[in-house]
Amino acid sequence: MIDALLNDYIQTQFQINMAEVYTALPCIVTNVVGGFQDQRVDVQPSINTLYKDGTSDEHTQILGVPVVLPGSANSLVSFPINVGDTVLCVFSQRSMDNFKIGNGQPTVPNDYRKHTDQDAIAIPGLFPFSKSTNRPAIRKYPHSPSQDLVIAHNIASGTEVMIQLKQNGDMIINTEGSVIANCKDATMNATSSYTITTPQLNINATATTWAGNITHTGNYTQTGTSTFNGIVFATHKHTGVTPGSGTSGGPTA
Amino acid sequence: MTQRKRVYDLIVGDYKTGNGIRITGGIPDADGSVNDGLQVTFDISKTADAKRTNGNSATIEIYNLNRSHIDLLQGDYLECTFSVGYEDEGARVVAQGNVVEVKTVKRGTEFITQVQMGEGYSDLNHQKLKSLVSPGSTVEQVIEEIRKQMPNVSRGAYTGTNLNNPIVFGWPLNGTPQQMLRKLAESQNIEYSVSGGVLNVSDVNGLYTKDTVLAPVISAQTGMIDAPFHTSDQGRKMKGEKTRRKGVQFKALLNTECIPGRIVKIESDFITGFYRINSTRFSGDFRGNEWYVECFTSEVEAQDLL
Repeated sequence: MIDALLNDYIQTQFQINMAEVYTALPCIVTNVVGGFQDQRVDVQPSINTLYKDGTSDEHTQILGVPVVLPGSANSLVSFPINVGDTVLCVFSQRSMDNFKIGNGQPTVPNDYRKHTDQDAIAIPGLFPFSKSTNRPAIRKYPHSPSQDLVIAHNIASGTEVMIQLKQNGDMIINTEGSVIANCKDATMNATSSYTITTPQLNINATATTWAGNITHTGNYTQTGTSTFNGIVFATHKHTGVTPGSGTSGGPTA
Repeated sequence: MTQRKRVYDLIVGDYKTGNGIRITGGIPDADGSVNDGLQVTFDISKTADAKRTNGNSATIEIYNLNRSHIDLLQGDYLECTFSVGYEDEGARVVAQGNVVEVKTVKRGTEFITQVQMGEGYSDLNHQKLKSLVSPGSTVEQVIEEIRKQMPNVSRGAYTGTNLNNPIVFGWPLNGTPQQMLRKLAESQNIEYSVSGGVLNVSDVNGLYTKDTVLAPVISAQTGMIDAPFHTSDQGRKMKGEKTRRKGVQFKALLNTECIPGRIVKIESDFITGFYRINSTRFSGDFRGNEWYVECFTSEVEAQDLL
C-alpha cells in the first residue's frame, strides 16, 4: 500500500515538474525588433497553457528571442521575418541572457534557470498545414512541391519572385521585376542554343565581338560606320559601272 | 516565561460565508471558567525554503467534535488558524492557511477529525498568473508582481543581494504563484516561504533580520531537550559554496518563536552560537507528553550579520 502511494506520489511529482520544463513550442511573432538587423523578435507561444480544471490561458510574450538563419560569421541566407509569422521555438538548457548580449565566447549564465520559457530560440519556417506557403494554389508561379527546389520571395503577392531548380535539371527565374547581375566578368555557356525573347534588347558595350555566323531577319538601322571586308558600307563605290542594264563591278572604298 | 499549562486556539471558517468554528483548550472561557478543551494533537512543518516542498503544512487532529462541527468542516478550502502556546504568554499562531483535506475516523471509542492544511495553499495554487515583468526590472519586482496576485498574502521580509539581480529580457509569469515562485527561487538561488499569511524571501541561508538581540535563546533553562547536534543538512551543497554552513539540529519544549528564517541563540555544552532556523517542526499532544519544537538550523557566520 505504502509502495503504491509512494510510487503514485513520485510519478505525480515527476509529471508536475516536467510540466514546467520547456523544450519546444510553435510561436507567433508579435514584434520584429530594430528592423531585424539583430535577428531578434518577440514571440508568443501559439499553444495555450491548459490547466487541469479544463481552463486555459494564452501564454504571455517572450521578449528578445534570437532567430536562427542559415549562416556563419561570413555567410548568410537571410530573409525578413514579419509580425504574424509562425516559428518553432526551442528552449535553451541554460539561461541565454549573457550569450545574447555577449560575443559568443563561453560565458557564465546569469542565473540558474534551466529550460525556461524566456530562453527561446526561434527557427522560422514552421506553419500550420493550412498556412503552408508551399501550396501552389497561393503561388503566382507554378512549381511542384514534391519535385522542385524553389526559392521564393513575396509569396502570394504581385511582386512574387522565384528561382526554381526543377527535377529535370531546368533552372528558372520568375519575376515581373528586374533581373540584375553585377559582376566583373560574366560567361554564359549553352551547349545547344541560347534564346533571348524580349520586345527590346539593349546591349551597352564599348566594343562587341561576335564569332560565328549571324542570320538576321527584319530591318537593320545603324548609325556610325559599317565596314565589310575593309570597305566602308555607307560611302563605298563600285568599279566597272556600265550604263543600261549591265552589272557593275564589285564594291570598292 | 514559564512553559507550563498548555493552550491552543483553533479557528476554522469558510471565509466566503462567514461560517466557522473556534475550538480552544486551556484558555479560560469568557466567564472565567476553566476550559479543559477537546483533545487535539498536531504536527506542523515549516520551512524557510519552500521551493523543494509544497510549502508549510499542518496536520491537526481534533477528538470528538460534535456532528454539526464535523459537517461544517466539509467545505472547500476553509481558512484555518491554529495557535498554540502556554497560559502565561497565550496562544501564538503557528499555522495559518487553507484546509486542504478533512476526514473523520473512529479509533476505539473516539471520533477523530483530521484536518490537513497548507499555509497560503489557496493563494499559492488557485491563482493563475498571466503577465510579463518588463525588461530592466529586478528579481524583487518579479516577486512583488507574483505576490500581488495572491490577495491574502502580505509582503514580509525581502532580504539578500540576489533580489537586485536584473531581469534583462523580461520575465514571463504563466502558471500558479507557487510555480512561478519556485521557478524564480530556483533560478536566482533564493528561498521563499509563505508563513502566517506573509511571504518572506531571502538568499540561500539568508536572514530575515540581522538583529541578534531579540533572538530566542535555546538552552537547558529555556526548554532545550537533550543536546543539539550537528547534521549534514547542508551536505548536498558543494564544498566551497559561500552559503554552505554547518548544520545543527535541536529539540526543545514548544516555542512559537522558533520560526524558519529567524536567528536563535543555542547554548549548550558542545554547541553555542547564533544559528539560522531552516525548518521547524511543531508537534504536540494536548493531553499527552508531546509539546515540542524541533529545528534544523545552520550556522550564522560573523559576516552574515554585517
